[in-house]
Amino acid sequence: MTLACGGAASILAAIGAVWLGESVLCALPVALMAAAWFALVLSHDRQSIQAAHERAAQVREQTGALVSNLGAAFTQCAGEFNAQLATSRGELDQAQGLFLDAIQKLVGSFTSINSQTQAQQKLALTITRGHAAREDDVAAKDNGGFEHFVAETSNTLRYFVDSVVQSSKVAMGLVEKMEQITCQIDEVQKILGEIEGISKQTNLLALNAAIEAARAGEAGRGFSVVADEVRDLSNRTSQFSQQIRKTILHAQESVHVTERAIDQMASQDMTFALQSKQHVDEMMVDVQKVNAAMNGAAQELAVITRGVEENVNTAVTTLQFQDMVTQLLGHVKRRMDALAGVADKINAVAADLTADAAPSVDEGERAQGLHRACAELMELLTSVRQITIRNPVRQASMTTGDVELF
Amino acid sequence: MAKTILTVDDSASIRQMVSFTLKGAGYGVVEAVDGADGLEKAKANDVAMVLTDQNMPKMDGLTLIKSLRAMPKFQSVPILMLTTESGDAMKSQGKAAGATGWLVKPFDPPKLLEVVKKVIG
Repeated sequence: MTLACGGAASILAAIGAVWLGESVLCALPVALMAAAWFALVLSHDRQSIQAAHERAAQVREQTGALVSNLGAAFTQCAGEFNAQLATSRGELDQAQGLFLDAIQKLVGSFTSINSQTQAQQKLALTITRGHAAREDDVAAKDNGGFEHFVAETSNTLRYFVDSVVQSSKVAMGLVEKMEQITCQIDEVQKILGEIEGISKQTNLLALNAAIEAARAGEAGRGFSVVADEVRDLSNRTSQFSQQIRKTILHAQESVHVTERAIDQMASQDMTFALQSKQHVDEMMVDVQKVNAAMNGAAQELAVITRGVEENVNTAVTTLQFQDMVTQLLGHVKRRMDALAGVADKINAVAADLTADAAPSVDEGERAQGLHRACAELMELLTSVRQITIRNPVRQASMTTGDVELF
Repeated sequence: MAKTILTVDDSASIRQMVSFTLKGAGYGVVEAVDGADGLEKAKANDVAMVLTDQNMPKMDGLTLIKSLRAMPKFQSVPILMLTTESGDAMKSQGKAAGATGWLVKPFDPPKLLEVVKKVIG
């Protein structure tokens, strides 16, 4: 370019010389020089242009190779992305499968445990109350159960003891009567003693009368007969008195025997009744202890039941994790599918690049093609973002969600 | 006579937990696996209330609600959403479609029973 300007300046100088009126002979060398200079410049420019062409071709070749390499790199990238995404999708499916399998078993065993726990609670309540399981069934509490049985037995024994006490009192009364009879017998014996005394004296008197009668001789004969009769009467009285005594003694013995028998019977009944009552009272104390223990157990059971209920609620809340995690995994899959789409697009762009890398392709066309591919890729990325922007699951923990009534 | 509740969800574990909670409180439960199944079961059963998820295959929750509200039988039957969605925009759509209420997962069994009792007794 500089040379061409220099050449042009020489030509102008020659023309100028001619114009200024210098002789043609003077201007000629200048013109010749200018022409030579111009020829030199022209031949130099041609060489430069040639070199520039060659360089341009070189650059085109290098660009082509670069674009081809880029294309190859993109193709490899896309291939690798697709392979990784496919594997990840497979692993997601595996996770989903594990989930479904585990959750079915978990829910199954949870509902079984729950119904078995409820059955246990009912049974435990039945044992502690000894009857119907419902705690608020007051009528049932009063009518059934071991406690009730023991109370009934205790009452029966109490009646028995009372009746034995009554019998005892009656027996004591009888014994008193017996003692009165004994006293009366003693009285009778005393009277018999008097009678015997009188009888003895009467006998003596009769003897004396007989003696006086014998002394009186014939005049006392009548009197002697009377005296004999009196003695006879006295003897008979004495005999009767002996018989009465014997009978009284027998009666006394019978009374004593009866007294002892009544005594023995009364004391035996009383001892047995009091011992039985004591046994039952001791049993009642034991039953009350058992009852207190049962009540304590029932209260503990109520606390445990409340605890179980709370845990059941927590389990029911937490088991819902499967649904949320499944939805999240589904969302991750959607992202992967979208990325797979992008990988495919990159693959297509890479193919275009490789085709455009051919040296025959016009540079302008190549540039246009690349711009178009970039634009399409940007559009695709925007749509990917829109597809995946909405995650249906925002929860980051298993805290229970809000409830709103419209 | 026990009141029947229709529960619609594509997740088996959610249906099982809802069923477990409601049956334990004495309600009858009918299960449906998606919106379309839900619509069929609603027509075929005498339900006192519907509890539905939003994101389901074949027919989503909002579409199900709109379809039910279009039927005279379901004009005044309470329909509650039970879903992971908690955004205000979604809730407004639900309200506009005719939902009676919105429950966000995971649900708490006592709270669910409280709401059900409030709505159908």
